[in-house]
Amino acid sequence: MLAVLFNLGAQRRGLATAAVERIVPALPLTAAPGAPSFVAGTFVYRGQIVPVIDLQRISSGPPVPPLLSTRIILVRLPTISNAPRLLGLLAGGVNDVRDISSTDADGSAPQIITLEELLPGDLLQQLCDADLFPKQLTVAGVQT
Amino acid sequence: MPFAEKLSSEPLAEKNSCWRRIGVWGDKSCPELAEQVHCANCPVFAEAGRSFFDRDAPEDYLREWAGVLAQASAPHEETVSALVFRLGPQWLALPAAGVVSVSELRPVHRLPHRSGKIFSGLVNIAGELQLAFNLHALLELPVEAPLHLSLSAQIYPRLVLCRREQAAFAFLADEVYGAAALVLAQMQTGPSESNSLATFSRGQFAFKRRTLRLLDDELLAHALARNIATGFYS
Repeated sequence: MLAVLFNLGAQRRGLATAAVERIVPALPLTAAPGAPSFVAGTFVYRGQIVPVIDLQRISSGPPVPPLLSTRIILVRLPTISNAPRLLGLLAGGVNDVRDISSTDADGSAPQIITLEELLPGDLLQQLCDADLFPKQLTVAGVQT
Repeated sequence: MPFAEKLSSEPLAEKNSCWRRIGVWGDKSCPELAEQVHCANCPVFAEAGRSFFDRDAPEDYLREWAGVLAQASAPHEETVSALVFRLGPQWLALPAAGVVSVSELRPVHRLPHRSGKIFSGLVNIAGELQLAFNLHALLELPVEAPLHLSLSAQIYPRLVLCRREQAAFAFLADEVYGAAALVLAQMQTGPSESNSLATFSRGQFAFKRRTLRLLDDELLAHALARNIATGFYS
């Protein structure tokens, strides 16, 4: 399975490329007041406001350092409606795409992690839900 | 950002520059060289290269990217790729998917009691006998054309071979321009005429200050096949 590698804490993890729309540099983000602390902010992608989640903060770690290798992984969320919903995942060490077979889990190869495992609780479900999709983020992004 | 400063101030490539010590730029004593042949193939070298990204991003770089990504993508224009050629005074286009070859003129051998106004005879193209048709006659176009309509400096008549499903047909074009991408949204219906040129064309385009008609290849192939099956003498 082809996976985008990134750092999660001290570990190296891979996210399957199937759901990845694009990888963009860690752009200056618009702050989203009122949003949970792991929401790093929002940015405009092709006229669409995309919320960005800091993967380090989600596991209560320090924020990701603003390096060139820190990038935003744009993922397509599985939604019921046709319109694709994008979510940005801010992660450090996004510098490699590798073919990782699911069989060799000898520890040396980075492990595949799914979106469900990355996002805590029912957050993914909330984000995928058309009605609950961060309206407050959208409004906050426009206002600021 | 102390972490970032620490990383960016450190000369990264110097951390473990084994390629300068034991690699191809050093004394070449690295045991990995037997397998990797050159340091450029070695994962250690690749990893050191990636570490160049562990430094601060220039401010302008990120701002520029933010602008690029904010722009809505250009609307996708649906085009049809077509072979552009001239028959007499009229520029025409056929969908390129059905065009097999454009070649030099070859003698067309008449078939006794078969060749007529539209069906010319058989022609040898790359060792295969193909049916040759006179599209001028089918589309009721004159052979003579004023010189200013030409697009090339030197005019060469060409033999065009098209294939649609199983049926192939060849015809003589007075000039072939080449392939062009025609934007379907710019297609105009053109004047409603009741001549055979209007019957066989899907629409017209403005092409290099000339009027270009896109032919309906399905209708054309059907008409030629019917001509063979029924009216050899027409």
